[in-house]
Amino acid sequence: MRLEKLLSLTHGNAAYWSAFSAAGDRLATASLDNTVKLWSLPDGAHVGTLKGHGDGVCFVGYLADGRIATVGLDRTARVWPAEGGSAEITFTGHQDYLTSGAVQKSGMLLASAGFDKTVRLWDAQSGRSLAVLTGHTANIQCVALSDSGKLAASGGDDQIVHLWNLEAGTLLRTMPGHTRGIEGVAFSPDETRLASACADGCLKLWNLGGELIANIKTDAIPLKSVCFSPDGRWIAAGAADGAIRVWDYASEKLIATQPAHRNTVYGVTFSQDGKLFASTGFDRTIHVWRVIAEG
Amino acid sequence: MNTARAGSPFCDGVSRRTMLKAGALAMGGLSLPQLLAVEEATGRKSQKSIIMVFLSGGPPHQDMVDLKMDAPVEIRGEFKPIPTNVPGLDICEHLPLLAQRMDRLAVIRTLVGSVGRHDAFQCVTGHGPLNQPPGGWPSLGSAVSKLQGATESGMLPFVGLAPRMKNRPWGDPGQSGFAGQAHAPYCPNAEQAQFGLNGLSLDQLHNRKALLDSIDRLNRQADKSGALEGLAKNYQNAFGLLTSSKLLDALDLEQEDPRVRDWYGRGAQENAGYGDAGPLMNDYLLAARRLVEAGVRVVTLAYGRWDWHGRPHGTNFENARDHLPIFDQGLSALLDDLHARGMDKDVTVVVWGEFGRTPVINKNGGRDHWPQVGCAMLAGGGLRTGQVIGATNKLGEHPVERPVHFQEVFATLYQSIGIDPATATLPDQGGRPTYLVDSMYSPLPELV
Repeated sequence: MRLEKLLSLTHGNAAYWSAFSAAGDRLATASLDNTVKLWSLPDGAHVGTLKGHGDGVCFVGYLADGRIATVGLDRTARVWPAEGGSAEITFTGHQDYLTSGAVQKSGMLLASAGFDKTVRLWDAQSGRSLAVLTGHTANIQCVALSDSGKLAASGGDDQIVHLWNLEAGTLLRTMPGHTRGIEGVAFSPDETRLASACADGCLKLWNLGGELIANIKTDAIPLKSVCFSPDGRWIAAGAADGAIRVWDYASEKLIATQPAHRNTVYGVTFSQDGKLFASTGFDRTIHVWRVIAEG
Repeated sequence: MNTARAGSPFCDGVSRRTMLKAGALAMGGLSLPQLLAVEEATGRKSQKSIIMVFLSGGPPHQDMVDLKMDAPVEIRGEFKPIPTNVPGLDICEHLPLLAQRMDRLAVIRTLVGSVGRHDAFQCVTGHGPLNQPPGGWPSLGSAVSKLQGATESGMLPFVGLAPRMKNRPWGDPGQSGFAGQAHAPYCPNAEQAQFGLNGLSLDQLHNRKALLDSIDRLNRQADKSGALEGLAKNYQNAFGLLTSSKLLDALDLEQEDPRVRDWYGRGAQENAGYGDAGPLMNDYLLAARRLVEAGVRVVTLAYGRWDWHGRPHGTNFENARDHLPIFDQGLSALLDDLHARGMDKDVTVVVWGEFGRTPVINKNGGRDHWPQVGCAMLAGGGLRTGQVIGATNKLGEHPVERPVHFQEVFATLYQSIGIDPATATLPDQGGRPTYLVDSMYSPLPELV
């Protein structure tokens, strides 16, 4: 597998996260410049900007109905129309900076997490708060939702992955073992595995019973972000050295190291058909890549 | 691009038109025409000038020019030093272009006396904000404006390039203080105004001038002494400030060779950080060069956002990797440009922020405020460059050799522009002659 760069897009400040629309014809990018920019694909034309957050935007995702969810450092999560405009819903309640968010690809769940050590769940349909998940003892840096909406995972400066049962609103289990802060978590598409990327450069794979399946050591310190390809074939991670690393999930073998950014890679994501990939960097750029599966 | 974004009034909100109103220009007792008359009488045409680059937020000295490789990991940071063209002087690996030009810079590693406030005040005035004399301390540019005036008709002595920003104290280009509002900086990048004319078209202005000329003619007929002749000429000069294209031309970077803008690095127009600090805008460095070349005596600008407390706004080192290469390109281009144009002996460049940053890296990967010591860089102005002044202890906590106070830098700057800080005074608002720099401070002997 290799990545071939298609486009480079820019923000006025660090780019934190990006998300492809379900059809793959739009890319939304979140930035420390307080905005989310909307781009058409494949031409990369800038088609809109979401303005309203009072601080940087750390997460953006497309909801199942096509609307856009964002999480801002300003302690709010918001839901926006697909074509832009003003936020339709603003979720409040967090007590400190937010660092991360996640959406359920096939539903309307939105998760947000941050320095108040809580993960909060929101219903993007009704605008209701669903749960406040407590248990972390330090700043949370990352959160993920399973596609089924039954599970959430989170990690942060307490170095322990937390797995949450969303149906019960309870902590399912914790997964200690990392030696520095956890910067990224992701569920495998089949919801049997969890990947966690750590500031110590280790990528760990867990089963949902909490067993460590693999411990992949890298020279990328810190790792900053992680995601699975939609078919579960690959795991990609972004790191402070500006490179994207891709592993074959089955063999756990590193199959690509792609220099990409001049600063930390804050976000990595595949399009839903797996044909495109986007990376967001503290260097203010977003690169859109074509995924070329070789062999 | 015109850096005069829609033009502006003066930074204190007083428009040039207001200043001109009815010819009653209160300039610390002198009207603008009178001041221009003094200029003409003295025949002074100094081209000495100062460009002050304010690194809004407090740059991390230990990650730029004073790396502490023997310190523990929680202090040392992520960057490695590289050698420069000055033997024995190493700086950060992310400043490779400046490393090749360190013979044209003097690095102060022991800047002390910071009052610890998050604003530009001390960097632009040399003083803390407490216990100010009546009228308040004038900033460097305002003091120079008052003491030296404009270099020529149609030119302003003091320009502040900072745009309006959320954290306004970072965008403070320098108050006029007891120098008087007439010596406030002209701020072309402030919002919602048109250059100087405050909405008045040139035709309208000329109509008003014609009216004033008519009144003047009547006065001259009444006054046979001829005294009003000179005054009229100086009104002409005052109008020249508004109507001359020289200043506007200097601000209009579209007139610059695009290759020169590329060489400087252009930069981002958006305010850095979260809209609260100066833009990381290398065009401003180029504009500063154009302005001093055109005859402006003092140009200040706020550059970037250096207040790097860490996540979630990025670690100190992520932000440094963002800012330093752009800063490296821009400042290097400015130094080369001034040198190539033969201006480096006349133009003093000073680069600094309000304080340094904590030796210990905090839990969010940031460094916090550290007024105990900071750094500064000076270039040009006939200063003895290619040297380091001062040394900090092995953790970068405090000076162990040659602490340098803000006011010593100011004394050096005043001297470089031709003002003797030991003798020059301005009357404060109570009329008391006031030295610009406390008497205990002198120009840095290492540099002058």
